Amino acid sequence: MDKKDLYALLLITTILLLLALFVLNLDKIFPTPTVQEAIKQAINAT
Amino acid sequence: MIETLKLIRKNLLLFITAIVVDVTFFIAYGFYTAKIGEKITAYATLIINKLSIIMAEQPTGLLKHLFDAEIKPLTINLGLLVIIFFATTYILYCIFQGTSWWFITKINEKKDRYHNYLLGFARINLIWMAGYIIYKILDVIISVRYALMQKIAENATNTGGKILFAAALLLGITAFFSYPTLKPGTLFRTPLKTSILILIIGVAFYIAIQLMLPQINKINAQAALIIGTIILFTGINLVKVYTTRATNVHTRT
Repeated sequence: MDKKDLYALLLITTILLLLALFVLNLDKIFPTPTVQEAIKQAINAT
Repeated sequence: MIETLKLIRKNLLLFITAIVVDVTFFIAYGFYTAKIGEKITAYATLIINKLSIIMAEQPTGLLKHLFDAEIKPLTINLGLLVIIFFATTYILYCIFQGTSWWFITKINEKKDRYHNYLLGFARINLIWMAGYIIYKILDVIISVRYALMQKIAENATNTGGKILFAAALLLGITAFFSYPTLKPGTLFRTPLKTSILILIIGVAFYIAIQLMLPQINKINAQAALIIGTIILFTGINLVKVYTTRATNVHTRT
């Protein structure tokens, strides 16, 4: 494996870690009630 | 096929690694996209709740209401989440499936460098991703149209849905054939006899799994899951190796 392949692996690892961080903090970035609460709201509205 | 099995036996470690990468893709895809999918559902439900109240008083202008002051932030967030979902799918698919296919090309003794192959794989998947997005949009439109038609005529046929499914199948097969050579038109340069044989082998594996698993499941559900996973991914990668060999013969790169 040459240097560029190793850099590619490093980039892939970084992307996957950043994506994981993003997914784990999704609630803070896009705050919403959960699906169950949203459905409860719909039932209460009717 | 005998040559394919000989290649796999010669490069067994690479073959097993390709299978492991494939299995890891499905686990990673579930982990990364489940939460995003839940958010999309939550936002869609919120928007529908608010829209149902507004449209009870003003039944027309759905698109306009999506951008009313109260709903606009939700609509924008929903749009962003859908884009993020597709982008995440694209990134994961390119990383994991690109790696798996690179191992397959190594088994076939091709000398592509990992970073070069991954770049080419990412580039070609821009085309297939665009096709997939168009398919999803048309799928939603045709499904809604069919649901409305069924309210008027219960026996209405979903011809549009069937045509779209056939088109999606052709898109998937064209994409599959493009991965060994990283050329979009590889399917159409491969002799029909070869392409049909590859499809028959793929379908045969699928049918074998569908017949075997229920029988094993009766004895032990966990065993059925493990055996099913092993057979499925071994079959997929066997077809990948065979396809790479067959397309290399007919489209010298």
